[in-house]
Amino acid sequence: MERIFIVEDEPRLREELGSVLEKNGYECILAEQFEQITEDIVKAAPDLVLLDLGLPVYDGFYICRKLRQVSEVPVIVVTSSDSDMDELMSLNLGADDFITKPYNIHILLAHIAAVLVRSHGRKGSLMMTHKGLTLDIGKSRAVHKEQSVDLTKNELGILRCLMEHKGTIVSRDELIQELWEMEEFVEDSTLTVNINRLRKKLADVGISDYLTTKRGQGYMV
Amino acid sequence: MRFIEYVADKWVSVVIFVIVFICGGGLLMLIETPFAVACVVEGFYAAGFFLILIQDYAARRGFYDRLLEATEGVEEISYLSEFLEEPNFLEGRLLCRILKKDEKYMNDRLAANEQELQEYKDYVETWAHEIKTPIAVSRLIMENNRDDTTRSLAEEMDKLEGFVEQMLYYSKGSSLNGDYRMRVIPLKDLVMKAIKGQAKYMIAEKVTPRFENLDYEVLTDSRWIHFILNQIIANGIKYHTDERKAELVFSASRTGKTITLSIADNGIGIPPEDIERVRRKGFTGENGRKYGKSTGMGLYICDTLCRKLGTELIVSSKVGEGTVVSLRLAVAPEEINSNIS
Repeated sequence: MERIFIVEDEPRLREELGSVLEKNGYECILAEQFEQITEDIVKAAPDLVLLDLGLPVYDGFYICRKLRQVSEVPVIVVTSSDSDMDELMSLNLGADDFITKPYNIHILLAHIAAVLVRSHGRKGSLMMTHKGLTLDIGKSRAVHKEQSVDLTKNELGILRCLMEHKGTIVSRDELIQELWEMEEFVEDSTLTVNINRLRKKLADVGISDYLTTKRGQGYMV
Repeated sequence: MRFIEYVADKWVSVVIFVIVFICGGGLLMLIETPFAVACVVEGFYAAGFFLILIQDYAARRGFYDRLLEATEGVEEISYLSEFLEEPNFLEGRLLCRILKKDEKYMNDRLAANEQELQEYKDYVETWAHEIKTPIAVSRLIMENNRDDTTRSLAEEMDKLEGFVEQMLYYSKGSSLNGDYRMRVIPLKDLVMKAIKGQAKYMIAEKVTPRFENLDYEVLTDSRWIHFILNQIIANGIKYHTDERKAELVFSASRTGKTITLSIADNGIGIPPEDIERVRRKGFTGENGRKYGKSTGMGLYICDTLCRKLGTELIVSSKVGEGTVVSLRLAVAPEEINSNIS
């Protein structure tokens, strides 16, 4: 499990961000004090650092520079001011990515995943498992017991979104939005077609009724 | 200042002169002065009067003509007195003194107001950044507690964020030095990013995007244009009609060094009497009244930002058919070069 070190001085934001990331399969380390933040990060040896720019004691730029002297850990800078200067400074100081508040959580997750893939050079090992079904995102394939089936881009997007929110209902609009994020601008009727095809494919690998319809609300796995 | 005007202005002096001239002449006649002597005396008297008049005119003309010229030619008339030489007649010197005092007062007030405005703007921008943290926290709380309540709260949060953005860009658009940076950006990326920003709203209102020929690169500021596109798209969604399948068509074409990006909706359209005024600050029009919740600020801010970016914004519409908003963007320099070579 990949470990993310969150450097954020607003306690509520830090905690909520931590639980969102944990729900999405990351382990989080939350910084509580900022005096020896660089040492703390190095000691914790995380896979990725989420670094807020406006901090007490030292600002994010300073921490970023300090960190780069001793470590190659990927850093995503998070800031509330969307100025070009901040972005430029962060990237010059060795940050790997830059994202502005208030971010869409899905976009943040996408950035995290992308930076992790880039830094570890791993692709195709992005796997999700839930109730006996494994989704191999890199290969766009669903695996159940020894059987596997290839998924189209839309089917993969739908299944991934549902598995990310396992145990909770995902509305049709949210699924459509997920597909729009992938630049597949589908309409309501297309979603129905995609869902039906996905159901059929899952039934083919012997796992029918995996995807439940919540009438008037959406879908759930 | 023309001589005739000057003389007309001095009509009292002229009347006095004429009366004294006639009375003097009469007196000389009464005491039986020889005609030739009377003529000489009257002649000297007249000459004296006219010489004084001409001298006075000449002195004033130089001063006032320069003052008038400065008033016409200088934009910052609060610095008028800087263009004047100290005149050699009393009235002029008095006027100069008053003008300087007045200017000083005015300029002090202007500077104080500008300072105050700048401080206010700085505060607005700081505030807009500060409020992003509570918004971010709220979004995360909603993500961690997903249900129908938080889903509808999330929609309200989108609106809240939209208004904060609008205020921030209003403040940016009216400041003297815009913090924009022109860069070469693929047009398609701009459009995609803007659509994703409004995806939730579009999906909820069942508006689908279509794209035609967006493979151009443009020179613009990505943040500003993102805000502008967001506003235009939001308008397109807001004023859709249920009579037909709502669509937003994004298309681009190139003429010379301009790329025209058109965003066409098939919504209710804008009445012809409103079309000229949609860009005015606070204008809501017939549609705004019908659909409610219109601040009349969106297009105004877009227009201001566009002017700063040197991008023309054109709105055309047919009632019942739809509205087309076009942005005339600059072609990226590379494209110009590759076309020449």
